[in-house]
Amino acid sequence: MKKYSLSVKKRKNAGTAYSRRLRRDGYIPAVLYGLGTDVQHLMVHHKDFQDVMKQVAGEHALISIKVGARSKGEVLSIIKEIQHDPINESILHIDFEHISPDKPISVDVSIQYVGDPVGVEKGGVFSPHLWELPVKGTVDKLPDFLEINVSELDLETALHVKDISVQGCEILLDPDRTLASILAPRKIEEVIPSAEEEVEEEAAEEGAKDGEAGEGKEEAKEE
Amino acid sequence: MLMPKKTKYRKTQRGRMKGLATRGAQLHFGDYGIKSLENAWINSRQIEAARVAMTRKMKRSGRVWINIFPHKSVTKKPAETRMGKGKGAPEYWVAVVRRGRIMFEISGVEENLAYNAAKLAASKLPIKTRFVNREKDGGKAL
Repeated sequence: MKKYSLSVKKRKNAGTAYSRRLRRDGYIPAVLYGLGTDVQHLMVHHKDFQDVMKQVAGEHALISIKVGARSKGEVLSIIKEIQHDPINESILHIDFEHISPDKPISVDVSIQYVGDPVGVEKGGVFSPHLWELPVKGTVDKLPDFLEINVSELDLETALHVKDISVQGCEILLDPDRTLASILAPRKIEEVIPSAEEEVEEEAAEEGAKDGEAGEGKEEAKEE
Repeated sequence: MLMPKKTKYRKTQRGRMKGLATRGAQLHFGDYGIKSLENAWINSRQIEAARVAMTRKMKRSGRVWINIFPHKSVTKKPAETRMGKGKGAPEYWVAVVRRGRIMFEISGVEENLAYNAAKLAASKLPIKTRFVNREKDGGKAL
């Protein structure tokens, strides 16, 4: 997994009002925890974080955090969670988890489906079910993203978790879980009338014609 | 039109629509979606009209998901009736939608077609909406 560096600052306070003030000033409130260390309340400049996220596939990147300008050491961490505003999708808060490079960690790795499925060319619809795959492994073995070739998927077939493997890592999902499938095109149902119905319709039409003709005769007699 | 098959109680209290959508605010099935920017009651006719507008525009290609369901019954008293004599009869069904909620999702079509279909669907809804894309954050207003 590729490592990105990010410089953050310690924040003095916590709480809603203080966090709102930070966001107005262009910072994102964050927190760092894990490996038995004390929880640290941090703030990240919005632009610095966006610069890192532009290079990352998915949301769970490996980040080397430098807390404060004067600190010497860097903390190896992973983005555990990013909270978004439900309306405008802006970032509200970030959780960093302090990790050890030797111990295995579980991360959601983003999936990128490549190739044009055979079933789509036949008129089907490609339907991905998962966009992230939970994977457990050490940092050096974890992939940045998973590239899955779906070009062989035919109509009404599916790709399952058991069909893929991640080298040196364990997939933390049920092997029978569907990753992606090709849905068959919708059939337009044409109602073809049966022979009996056709006869009945003809008889009804004839009856209607006779009725009209009869009425015309009666009107003529009255005159 | 969408409506519950069976309910425990026929009539419900109106309730309040406070706050934002805490769940169902992100795309789960499709690549594109229609996000609500206002709190509102969306009735089953509006949901159906939006669905029909979208599927017609997409010419039956792609796939559409409806993420909201009208669970709530709305009652109405008959015209020219004196007040009292109890609550009126159930008239229609609504889904309580809070701002931020992804109401419809689309996949299997080009972004341009999805946007145009979503725009038509949004015009059938009584609220401001935004077109959202899985790849690009933020989306744009419809």
